[in-house]
Amino acid sequence: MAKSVSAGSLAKRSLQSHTWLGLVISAVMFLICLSGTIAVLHKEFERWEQPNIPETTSYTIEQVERAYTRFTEQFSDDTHHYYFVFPGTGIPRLVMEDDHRAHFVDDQGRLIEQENVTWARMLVDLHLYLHLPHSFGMILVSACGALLCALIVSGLMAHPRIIKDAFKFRYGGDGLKENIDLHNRLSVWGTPFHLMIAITGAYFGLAGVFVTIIAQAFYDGDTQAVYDRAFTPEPELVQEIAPPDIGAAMRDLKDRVNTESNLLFFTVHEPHTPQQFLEFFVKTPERLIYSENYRYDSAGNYLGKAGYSDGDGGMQTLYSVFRIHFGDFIGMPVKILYIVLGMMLTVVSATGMNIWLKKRQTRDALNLLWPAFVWGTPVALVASALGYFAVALSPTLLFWVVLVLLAGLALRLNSEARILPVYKRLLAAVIALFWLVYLVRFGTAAFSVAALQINVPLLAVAVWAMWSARRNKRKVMQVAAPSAS
Amino acid sequence: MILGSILALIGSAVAAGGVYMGWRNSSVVYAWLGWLAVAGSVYCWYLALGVEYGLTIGLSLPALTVWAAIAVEANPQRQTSERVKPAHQWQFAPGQIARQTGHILYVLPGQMVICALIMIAVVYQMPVSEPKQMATGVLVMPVLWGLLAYWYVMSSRKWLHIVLSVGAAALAGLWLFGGAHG
Repeated sequence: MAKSVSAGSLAKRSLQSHTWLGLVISAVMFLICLSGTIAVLHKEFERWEQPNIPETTSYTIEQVERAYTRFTEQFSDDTHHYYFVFPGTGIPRLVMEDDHRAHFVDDQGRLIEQENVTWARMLVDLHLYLHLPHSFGMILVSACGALLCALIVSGLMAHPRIIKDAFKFRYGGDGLKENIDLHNRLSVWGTPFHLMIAITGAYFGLAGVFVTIIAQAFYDGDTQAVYDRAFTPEPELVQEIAPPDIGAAMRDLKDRVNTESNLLFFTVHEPHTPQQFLEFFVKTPERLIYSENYRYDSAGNYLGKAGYSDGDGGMQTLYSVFRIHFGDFIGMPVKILYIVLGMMLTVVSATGMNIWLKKRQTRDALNLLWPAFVWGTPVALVASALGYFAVALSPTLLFWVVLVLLAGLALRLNSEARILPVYKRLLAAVIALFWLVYLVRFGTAAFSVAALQINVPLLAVAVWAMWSARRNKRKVMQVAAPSAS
Repeated sequence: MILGSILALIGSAVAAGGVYMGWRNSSVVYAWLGWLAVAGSVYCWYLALGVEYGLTIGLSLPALTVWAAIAVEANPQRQTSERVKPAHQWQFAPGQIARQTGHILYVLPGQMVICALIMIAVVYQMPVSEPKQMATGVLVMPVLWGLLAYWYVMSSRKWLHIVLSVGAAALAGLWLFGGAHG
């Protein structure tokens, strides 16, 4: 690198800086961006994993009370919380859970099938932790957020023709100019969104680092004291130990706020102790804050709200990060917007490395492994779902095994031109096979909204992959024909 | 809300068209009108969805709406085969590996600690509430980290960067842990 940062114009040195930073994090960034884009639909994936669960958007207070009583009687393990999740979360199902397990609730308030979100959790864990140990993985992913800021700044500084090229797009040829223009157009016009995602993404891991240092510097190492300053602390209660009066609390809440479609869930904190209290998380329309929280004691007496909607501006800002980063507001239109913009950032990550590979004067295994990694990742994701639904294989293990196998296949193919059509066909084939497995596994439930809202777009991806593979192959043959003659 | 959003979406598309016309005609007046239209479209989103949703969507949308204009400008290149490149000759260079590893360690964990110390020390001087200090710090820190990483990597005098950054972090650490903050 000493050579790469030798004196030169600011633009040239910025480009060298951009290249070095990009090379350091390109693969990790690609994984984070792709998994994050798909994880925008994590709630839809949760429904898709169990499409046979009855769905509803209505419930009664009695139904909730019955489910709570049944659950606490059936599972008397040590738990610090009980939760009841309402359809307001975006999943039209009722779920009763504690710190260890979750069960769906039917219209009579009975506990039915256990909630199982193994594949969706694998996807979210890939995005949040890269499947590494959580504390280390989250800091690494957050560091990528900070380095994305560095890439944005260096990329803009490296682009002296930013205005002149604002709408320019060259395609075809040997692919170099196409990759350059695609990378530059997507990244320049997407700058506001990319910055927003980088900063809010970095927040999740850096907040922990921040809290640790602040706790050591100002609060004798007490991290809880820092959280209590940033967010509203839990109420201190002294009361008789008794089951919470959920009905009284819910009736009072309905008088205070519009809970219809806005009630997310409630938590019973520290159950079976004198400190037990109920906390209702309610969505606030037109606000990015996750929720406003309403608190009740065991007897259902109103204690007050947490103040996230009208409290300190700093607290409101911190409490808004989740919805901004994951596009969890308004509903499906914003999710689609985030998927398209997220896919654009994924393409920026992929094309950045493509440009470096194409500009290099030499070639090696990396020229084969990079396209295999880019096109192998979606194949590995679908294959992990296929193995999980077919024979309950660990989706995390399967994802990485398939990715390694596909890297090996790329080395065996030993042709960059062949990788794209082969991997795209493979993607289409794996999706088709997945459809079959899903149909066999879930029968008629495979035609429910919960299943089709994922599987129809997935089928569209398969059709596009086949069409694109044919195009790639034709292009390879066209290019090969003149050179052969 | 739906009608307002549709009108705002049309506003965004028109604004992208305005910026494109300014660019195509190389006209400063057109360009300014285009950018004014972009600001206007963000305002339309604010009216339709409120300030928080409106700003988020209004600022993100140009990334999509400009593609109609980019498609108009798309220029096909003559199909050519890629040049056959010679194989890369890998040479084991322990010094180079150690240097690059050092750069990575400095940019990742090193600058994270440096930025966190500087940022916390700076925001805790701000005359605002503690949650505001924390929110400012944790959201500005990745930007500071990004800027420092960019500066370090492109700098030809890395020692100067390290001395200045580590010095600032040491001062911040002294203030935070030396009891100077009272």
